[in-house]
This record gives sequence, C-alpha cells and structure tokens, in this order.
Amino acid sequence: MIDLVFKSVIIGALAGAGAAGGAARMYHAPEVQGMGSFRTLGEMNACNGDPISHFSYGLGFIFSSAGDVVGMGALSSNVLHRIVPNWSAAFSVLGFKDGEAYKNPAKMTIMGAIVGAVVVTFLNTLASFVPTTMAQIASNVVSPAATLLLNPVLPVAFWLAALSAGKEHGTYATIFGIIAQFVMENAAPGCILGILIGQSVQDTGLKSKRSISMLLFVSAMFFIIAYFRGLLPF
Amino acid sequence: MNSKIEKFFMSESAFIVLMAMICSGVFAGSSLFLEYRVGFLNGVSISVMLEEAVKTGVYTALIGYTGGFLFARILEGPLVGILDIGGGVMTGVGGGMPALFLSMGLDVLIKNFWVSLIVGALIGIVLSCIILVIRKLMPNGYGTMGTEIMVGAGNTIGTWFGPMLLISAITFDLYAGLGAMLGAVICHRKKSPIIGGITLGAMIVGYVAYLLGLTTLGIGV
Repeated sequence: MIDLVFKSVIIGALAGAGAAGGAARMYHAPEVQGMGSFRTLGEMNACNGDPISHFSYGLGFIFSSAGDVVGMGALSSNVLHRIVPNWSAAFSVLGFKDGEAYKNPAKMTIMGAIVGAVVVTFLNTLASFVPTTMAQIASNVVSPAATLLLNPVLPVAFWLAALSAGKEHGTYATIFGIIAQFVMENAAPGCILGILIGQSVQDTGLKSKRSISMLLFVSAMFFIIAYFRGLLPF
Repeated sequence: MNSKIEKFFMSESAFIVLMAMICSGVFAGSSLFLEYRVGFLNGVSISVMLEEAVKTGVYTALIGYTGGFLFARILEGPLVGILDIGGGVMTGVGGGMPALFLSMGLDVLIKNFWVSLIVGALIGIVLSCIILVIRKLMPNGYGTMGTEIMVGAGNTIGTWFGPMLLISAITFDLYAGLGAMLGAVICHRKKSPIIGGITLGAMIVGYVAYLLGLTTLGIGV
C-alpha cells in the first residue's frame, strides 16, 4: 500500500505537471507548441478563469473516473484531459491571486504537479479497497468484451472508416488489411496504414515521392514480419 | 513569480521538459498498471486491450492501433500547434510503447518502475524533438495526412465498448447483467459515459446477489 501511494504520487505529479503546463501553453498556440486537445481548450474557455466553474467541471469527472479505476484499473483519459487542467486552473487563479494564471505555463505546471499527485493517488488507492469478489466480477465482464474489441471491432471500425473516406483510402486499406490479417492475424494495422497511404495517393498522386516511399516502407515492414513469423516458404 | 522562469516556460525547451514529464508519468502509470492493476492514465478500452494482449502474448493489433494514433498525432501536433495528448501520449506512449517493448521481450523497460520513469522521459524527449523539428521543416504542412479519419474510427471503437460490456455482463451472470443495465441507464439519463456505470453496476449488484446467495458467479463453489 505504501509502495502504491509512493509511486502514485510520483506518477501523478509528473503527468499532472506536464498536462497542466501544456494546457496553459495551448492559449499561446500556434506560436508556442501546446499540448492537450482542442476539446480541453474549448472546455477551459467555457469556464473562462472562474475558479468555481473550473473546479466543478473537473469534479463531475472524478466520479466517472472513480468508476473506471475501481472496475478496470484505468483512470480514464478524463484525468489528464479534464480534471487536471481545470483544477489546476481553479487553484492557480486562487493560489497565485492572478485572474490570468490559467494561461501561465509556469504557474500551471506547479499547480498541475500538486493536483495530479493528489488526484492520481486518491483514485489509485480507492481501487484497492474493493473486495476481490467484486474485482473478479469486473474482470469476467470486461475480458470477453476486450477480446471482441481487439478482433473484430478494431479492424472493422478502421476498415469502414477507410471505405467511407474515399476510393483511394478504401483500396489501400483493403489491400493492406487483407495482408495484415494473414501476416499478423489482425487487419487493423493494415487498415490504418492503408488510410495513410490512401490519403497520400489522393493528395499527391500514386507516383509522388511521398506515396512511393510509404508504399515501399509498409511493404518492406510486412515482408519482414511475415518472414520472422515463418509465413514465407524460404 | 520570477519572470525569467515564466519566460522559460514559454520556450521550446520547456516543451521538451513538459513532454518528458507527462510521458514519464503516463509510461510509469502503465508500469503501475501491470504491477497493481491500477493507475493506467488512459481510457478503459486501451487498458483492457493491454491486459488482454499481456494475457495472450499477441501484441500486433494493439501496437498497430496505438502506433497509428501516435504517428498521426505527432504529425498533426506541430501543424496545428496543439499536440493531442489523448492519442499521442495517453494512447501512444501509455498503451503502444509498453506493448511494443513487451512484444520485443524488453520487459524490464516497463516492468521495473524506476526504469520505466526514465524510459518514459526519454520517449517524451525524443517525441518532442521530432515535433519541434517538424514544426521547423513543414511550416505549411502536408495537409491532414488522413488523421481525422483515424481519429473518427478510434472514437467509434470507444462507443462500441459500452454495448459490448452490457452483452458480456449479462452473458456472464444474470445479476451482474441487471446491475450493468441499471448502471448504464442511470449514466445515460445523466448524460455521462455509460462504461463506468456498467462496471460499477455489475460489480455492486453482482456482489450483493453473491452475498445473498442468489448466485455463485461461477466462483468460490
């Protein structure tokens, strides 16, 4: 338990500092490289530096994150996308007595480390109070769903996305999807690479440097994997 | 606060520092997940895929999926000025990198917590340098690279997970299934994601039914 708390504090502080600092830098993009997401920026703009709005917006996601971590050990992407940026914003504005502190990467990084450490440790330790029978139920519910998710949902989702994106996307996703299914027993990587190649062919043509190098690179990669898996007759 | 420090945090080197920190935390979070089954700094769909991949030893699908996201976000990040940490860091570094290292037999890089902190930081430094180089090389960029198609498909997968959990819950046990249904309905009506409600509902109702002797759950008989 002490080990878990200790490690959670480190992880939370590091990830929280990065996420909050990156979020503050988003206000200065594109001149400054920020990180977070457009969704996060939009949501933070909606709260507009009001500490109570930022805090209550983050609080709403604590409960759903708690559900995810208790059931499946994942803190959910809401921790770094929503809770840390918004709570850091709330506490920066209050703590530094500066209404614009949430746009200041230095102040946000410091506050993010503290918020991250507290939130991650709280959520991680919460999960360890769950009885083993409950954890067993969760794993019995989740495991079959996870198997289906990897195959066939994952490849089908990318395949459908490729087919509906256009002629070139669908063509290359189908070619490489089939090969990937044979070579790697899952079509998803092939469909994803097919989408990238298809986009390149659509934008710059089949004979462009970019399309040819991508095709060669992916073909070589598949060939190597097939060789090491013993699927080639030599 | 010292204005020198504030100026540093707006610089390009600060981006490298921030990326090193967040990648270190997220990657070590995956290490903690493999050790204690908590602490994964990402959505449940990736954590269960990683767990399943570790169980079966088949990593290709996970690497392809997460690697695709990482690739797309790293290219997109410098073009728009905002790196998406969901696909780039949480999925790519938190889900993809552990899968890649485990598939290559480099278990120590992820399974040792202290090593994982350093490895994560190094990954962050490398990725942020790539992003800063792309920023310099491609001011006008290559267009979209097809990233929005991949992100759309990625989101589709997330939405599939809820209904599949419901099917899985009722297949496993009547009471767990009814609990999952209840949790999903409550969350749906409150307009929040249903996945948390499904698992919590299945666990609570299933556990109560187990304690009351209504079901054995196929365990402890």
